Amino acid sequence: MASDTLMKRVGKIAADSNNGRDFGQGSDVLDCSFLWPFMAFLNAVLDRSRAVTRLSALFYGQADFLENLMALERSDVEKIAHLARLGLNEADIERTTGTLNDILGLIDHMQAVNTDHVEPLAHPLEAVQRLRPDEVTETNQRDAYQTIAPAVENGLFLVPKVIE
Amino acid sequence: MHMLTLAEISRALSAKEFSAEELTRVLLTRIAQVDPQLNSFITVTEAQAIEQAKAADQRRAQGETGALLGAPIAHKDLFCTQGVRTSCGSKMLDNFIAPYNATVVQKLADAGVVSLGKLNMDEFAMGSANESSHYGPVRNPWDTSRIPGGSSGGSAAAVAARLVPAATGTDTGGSIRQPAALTNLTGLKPTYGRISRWGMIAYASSLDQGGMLARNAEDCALLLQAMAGFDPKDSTSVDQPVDDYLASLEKPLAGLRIGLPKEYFGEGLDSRIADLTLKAVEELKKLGATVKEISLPNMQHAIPAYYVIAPAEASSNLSRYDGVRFGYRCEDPADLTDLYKRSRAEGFGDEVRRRIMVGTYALSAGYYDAYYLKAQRIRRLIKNDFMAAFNEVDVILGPTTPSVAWKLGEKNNDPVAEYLMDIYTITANLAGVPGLSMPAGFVDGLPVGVQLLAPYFQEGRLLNIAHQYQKATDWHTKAPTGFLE
Repeated sequence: MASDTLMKRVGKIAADSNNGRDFGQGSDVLDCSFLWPFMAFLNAVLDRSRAVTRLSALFYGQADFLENLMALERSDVEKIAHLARLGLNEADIERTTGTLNDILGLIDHMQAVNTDHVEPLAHPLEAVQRLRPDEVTETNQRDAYQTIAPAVENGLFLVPKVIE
Repeated sequence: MHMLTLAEISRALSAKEFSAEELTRVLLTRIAQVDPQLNSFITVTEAQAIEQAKAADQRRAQGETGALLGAPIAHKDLFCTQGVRTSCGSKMLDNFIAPYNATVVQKLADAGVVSLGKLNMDEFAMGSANESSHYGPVRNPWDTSRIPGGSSGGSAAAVAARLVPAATGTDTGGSIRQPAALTNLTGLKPTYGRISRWGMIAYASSLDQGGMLARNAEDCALLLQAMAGFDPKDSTSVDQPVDDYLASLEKPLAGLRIGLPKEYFGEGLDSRIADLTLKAVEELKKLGATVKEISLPNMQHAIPAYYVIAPAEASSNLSRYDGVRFGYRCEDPADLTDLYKRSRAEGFGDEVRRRIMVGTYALSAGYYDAYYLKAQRIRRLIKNDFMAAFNEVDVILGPTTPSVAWKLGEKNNDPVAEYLMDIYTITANLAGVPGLSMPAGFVDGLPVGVQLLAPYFQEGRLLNIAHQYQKATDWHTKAPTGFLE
């Protein structure tokens, strides 16, 4: 909990406001209940830094988290790596499986939020895709662009043989 | 000369106290001497800088004026600079010589700005510590055993050490504001769409926004004036007139309504940072502001939503790095799939690969609704929180970061711990509102920043408040001692 001095000072500020309530009284300091399972998981599994220990202090208390986690298996990670065209070696896959599960554990707490009847937000200002007349606006700069290509020949980009 | 702010340089150049070329040479010499301790630059463009400085001096000799004519800055290495390597902190783009200028780079060059080079950053802007760079970590000038923040860590370290008076940066989840806070600088992330993203290498396109890190609000205003504006080449650029940011600096703060979100002052925040934040509030009250408690109830959902949206967009954006047309290509590929897989595995570092994997999973068949769409719905809840708060108050104030700069290597094996450090900054990116971090004191000799958030397109208001605060306080004038000689 924050220091008494802080409470007094915040209280003083809050008292100045029109409908000021004290900060941080009781249990509604910061409703991070969505993070409880995650933080408990962290506490159980990870070698935490001091800062995380500080953050996690708030979130102790619930440990029925593991059943919520749909842990990725090694085969899932291999499949994702293939979809992303990332050639991971054995050691990478091992390591990545653990880290991805940590990250997905964090992400999965979104599911507890009620978003019924809430429209997805793609652009903060709700802008729609701007259209322009279908006119040629760029000049051909193939030679310039090919100077930075890994392999070219006769103005073509070279890749390994695709058709046997 | 290197201790001058951008505004002071501008006045000195117009009073002909020194030339742009003289200043540029002084700064280049300092970069060569000091930067080996910090690693803030990836590329120093000495020849181009002197050429640009001479051109600026010539323009001035021909009677041209302009606040930024001959003023030196440096660019985060994800803004494309024609003819200069633009690496994005990645091995993938170590050999990438940009064939064109980003709009931001071009606009600043047109204004006569001299670019000294390209600044270090987290690889593809993914990180909060500047430790994921292919070119090695950047050190914090306030304590070289600590991180400078990220992803604009090179920008922060270079400006804090007075190697350059200001720098460009980008902010996808706090990458301008957090390093600014950890190095005692003023950093501004404008409204999404205020500054063109064209030529800014994409990380998460619906969140990325360019901005700047400088020594004070006045310098940020000078740069924003030149950088902001509609760009038809950026499909998400917003066609809205650009305010006169310099004129708005001097507005008195009487009647300003500040909201303190109770969620920003909970446990997890270093209580000494809370104290300094409230001290800044007291100072603003003396300047005429009123203060009120508010609530942003969905703040806590921002990190999970962000770590779906950003990796999802990144996995799509980074699919272009395939080893075919530019960038890194592996040796002796067996076939096309091998070419793709090894070029990408060898060209990207750990954190980038990790986020591509998370994003690929979130967007894969059967998971799109549960992850990406869900995150976008939460994003709307977060935006709605801000809209409701801004009905009651003019700006929102809180700490920029929950802790001061941590030790290099401290969170290396724990990406999730590092993700949690962005708790206070991420909401502004999800909602698209502008945010500014300004120096507000020190804890154990390390800088602390206070964050201000405003409604869309009210960058002028943020700069105004920061400027008035900086006229009444001197935190922003403190510089790290080892780098001043």
